[in-house]
Amino acid sequence: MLTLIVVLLYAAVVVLDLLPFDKRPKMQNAVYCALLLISFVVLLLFSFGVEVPSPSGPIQSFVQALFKLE
Amino acid sequence: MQKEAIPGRQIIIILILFLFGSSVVMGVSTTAEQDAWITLLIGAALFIPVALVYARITRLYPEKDIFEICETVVGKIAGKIITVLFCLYAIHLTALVIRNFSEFFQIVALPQTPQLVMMIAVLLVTIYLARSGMETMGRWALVALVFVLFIVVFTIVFSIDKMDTENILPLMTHDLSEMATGSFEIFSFPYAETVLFLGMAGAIRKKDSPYKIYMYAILFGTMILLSIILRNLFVLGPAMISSNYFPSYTTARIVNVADFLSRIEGTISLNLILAGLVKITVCLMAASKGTARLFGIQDYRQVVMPVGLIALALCAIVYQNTMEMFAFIRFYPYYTLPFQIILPLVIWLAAEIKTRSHKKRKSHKKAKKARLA
Repeated sequence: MLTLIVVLLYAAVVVLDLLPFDKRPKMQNAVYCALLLISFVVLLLFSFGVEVPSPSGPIQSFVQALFKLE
Repeated sequence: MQKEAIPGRQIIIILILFLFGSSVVMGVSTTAEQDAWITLLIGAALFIPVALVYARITRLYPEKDIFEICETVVGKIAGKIITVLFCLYAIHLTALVIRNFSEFFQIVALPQTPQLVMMIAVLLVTIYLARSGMETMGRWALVALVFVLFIVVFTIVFSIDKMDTENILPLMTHDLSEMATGSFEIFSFPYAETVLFLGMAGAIRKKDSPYKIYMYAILFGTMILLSIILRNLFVLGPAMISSNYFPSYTTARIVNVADFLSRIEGTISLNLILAGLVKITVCLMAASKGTARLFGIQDYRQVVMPVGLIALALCAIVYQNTMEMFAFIRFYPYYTLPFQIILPLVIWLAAEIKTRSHKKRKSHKKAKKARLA
């Protein structure tokens, strides 16, 4: 179900937001597509139940080590 | 990039709602229990000098946002590095606030609904608001503030009969380190998070004083937060507040006027929606403006959607559960230190040096011209 939601969301974004503005500058399109692809892969993995590493863990460990927190 | 200037009054309201944002349900630091209101006041006082730094940066380069200022004062490469850091922080904060939303709604209202659905719903609204620009957000903030204030006053008035003023006692029982920790937590969440508003500093008109804007926002924001803390403390007591994830919601649940008016906790959810949307939109706009600046894109609105989706992806994976979310709050103030204090200080110092040397050079040139004449 989650996978379907993610796929539908991205299909809607591509159809309604990416394609109507295909005359955008190249750089803009490249940034748009790259960010879209990254978020799509992460959300797809999340919907499959794959444990994608979160930044919270490393941030906590780093802060703990730096400020000597318990 | 397009310039969007809005009246100072609307910016103050946006800042107040930003401060109020997720604090309305997450509550402010509970480390100091019944002394939380004192830590709030200390936190606000600690933030004043930092807010003056933010305001000074805006004053030195009026009608410019932090990303433009960075590249002007520290050079293109260093400016880009700082922009990347601010962007990452803005995306992270967007994700964290959306997660607060989804966790709250899953716990209190929609336990069977996947959080991703709630996240998408919230994100789409904020993307729409961010794309509509600062003028629309300013007007939205005006409307939202009226409702937010009404709900705060409403819940206070109708919980008066449940209040026990002795809950505030004994005063100052916590040691200095606990008070300092509580104040530091409040300083960084929510006060110093307003650093992201520097991404929208270009919206402050030249004739409006950024000092006044920040000071009024701190004053009114603190007054609202103080009234919420005291309401929760008087109704629930320190022990109940510490054991509750969402104290404001629990307080509103208790309200019952003559067996006629009850279950008004929905109003707290409404407050979160109204103020939280402003907070998420400010974060999203800052992230989009930074991204657009980084890649030389003229209009930030063109990248709001992909940046928002990146925040959504981060939001989905950032925590495994609610306990993890609340555990992270302990580390959050330390993690945000570079973004909220160090980077603005560096930019401010660089901006002061740059403007002073520029002024000196100008006066030298004038003197030279006068001598030649």
